[in-house]
Amino acid sequence: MNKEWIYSETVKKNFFNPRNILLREPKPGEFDAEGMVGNPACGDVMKMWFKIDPKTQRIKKLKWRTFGCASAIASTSMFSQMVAGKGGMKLEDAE
Amino acid sequence: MKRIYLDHAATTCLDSRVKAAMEPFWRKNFGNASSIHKEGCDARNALSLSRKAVASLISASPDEIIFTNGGTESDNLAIFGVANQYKKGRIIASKIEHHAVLNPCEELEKQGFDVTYLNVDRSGIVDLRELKNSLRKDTILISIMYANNEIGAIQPIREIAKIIREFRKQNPNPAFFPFFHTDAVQAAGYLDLNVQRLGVDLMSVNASKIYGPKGIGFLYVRRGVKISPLIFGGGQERGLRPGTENVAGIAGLSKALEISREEQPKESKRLVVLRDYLAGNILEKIPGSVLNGHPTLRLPNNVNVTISSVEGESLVLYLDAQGIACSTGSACTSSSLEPSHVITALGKSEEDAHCSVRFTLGRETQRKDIDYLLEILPEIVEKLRKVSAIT
Repeated sequence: MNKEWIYSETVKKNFFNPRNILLREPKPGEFDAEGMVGNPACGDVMKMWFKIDPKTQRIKKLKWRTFGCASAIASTSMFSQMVAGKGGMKLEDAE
Repeated sequence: MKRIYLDHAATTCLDSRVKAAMEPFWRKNFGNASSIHKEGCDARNALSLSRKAVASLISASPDEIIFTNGGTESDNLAIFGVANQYKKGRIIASKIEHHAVLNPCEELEKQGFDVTYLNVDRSGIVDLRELKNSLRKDTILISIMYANNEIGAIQPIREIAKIIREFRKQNPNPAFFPFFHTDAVQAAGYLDLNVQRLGVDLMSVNASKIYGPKGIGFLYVRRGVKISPLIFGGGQERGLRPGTENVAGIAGLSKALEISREEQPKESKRLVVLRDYLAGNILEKIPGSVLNGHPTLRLPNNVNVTISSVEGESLVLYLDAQGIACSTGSACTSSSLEPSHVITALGKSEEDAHCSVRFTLGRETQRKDIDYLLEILPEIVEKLRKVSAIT
């Protein structure tokens, strides 16, 4: 296959137009949970913020920021869409 | 979209004059230089002319030039070639050598050789005192690159050669005689290549970094330096690199070296101005940016910067999307996931290495290309910093 870009088209789309990025600092109480994983020495750090629907116990919103290569940025973008999309992932499934 | 190629340390395009010099050897003068008929003689004559030209350009004798398929092979031939002669002993190399030198050294360690890896200072220059102290009675080879491929740092080759010469005088040891090899692949386009002045015993050069064809290079082997071949066959290249000679490639290499030697002084001056203009403006326009390597002891075409919180590969790909080709010491897509051993050898963190980006200018690079880069770089950095999880 003749590839014009180093990664797949899906990676390309999510790398150049990442979805669900938090481009500012979160407001107090805006999110219910946050987490960070990775290590700058290894070249990847992902930070995520979650909003949980208390009634349905589903992840309603996932915002993120990533330091890393194209595949790291694209996969966080894709991950946020998979987790928060389609009504949101159930907390018990996310554990 | 117009492309701006700023990755000349990776490879260069083929100079059209080089292409013209190669032209006769595809269809017209295609003979095998080992054949005894006219076609063979024609090829042999061409080969001999190229060898003479290459030798003369570096002040060597034609019999001291061994054509190989490029820089990696030349480095391997020098290192294994010397090691296989001695069968044991100590090798000294700097920590910032190209993998074409480091990986053969690591392989030799597995085979029982001792290898000392010399530190470099914060600007990437080898410590001569450490070198002096590292020389031992059983040292067989010192391999220190002329100019570094990532940060462009230029090593004091003549001083290193002098230290080795003095060591030999003071420690006459017929069983172990240390030879000095330099990988001059990145230096070839810009620095003095006179092997008499440099005082090296072995020197690797590659055509594809000096606007010549890919797949051809040579190893300079000073008379009296005994090396073993890596491959065996029909005895070409004095048995040190058998195989039917790549006459077209060798003619191209010879022409490329001739042109680059001729144009080098003027081109170096031109590029130093552009290099300093680019580096100065990046440091001024982008907060959190640092120049990697030495400010002046560096190749005229090399700018390497660490831009904090901006991962190198992402930056390279955003620049690529805007028409600029450059490279990084951070490499998810390359065969190695490790951050650059060169940047970390400068005493910088692995994070700094992941955030490094290299621009290497070339013959086609104009000031307007640099201005375009300087125009779009701050925006891309700002965008990636906004996306970044670290600050």
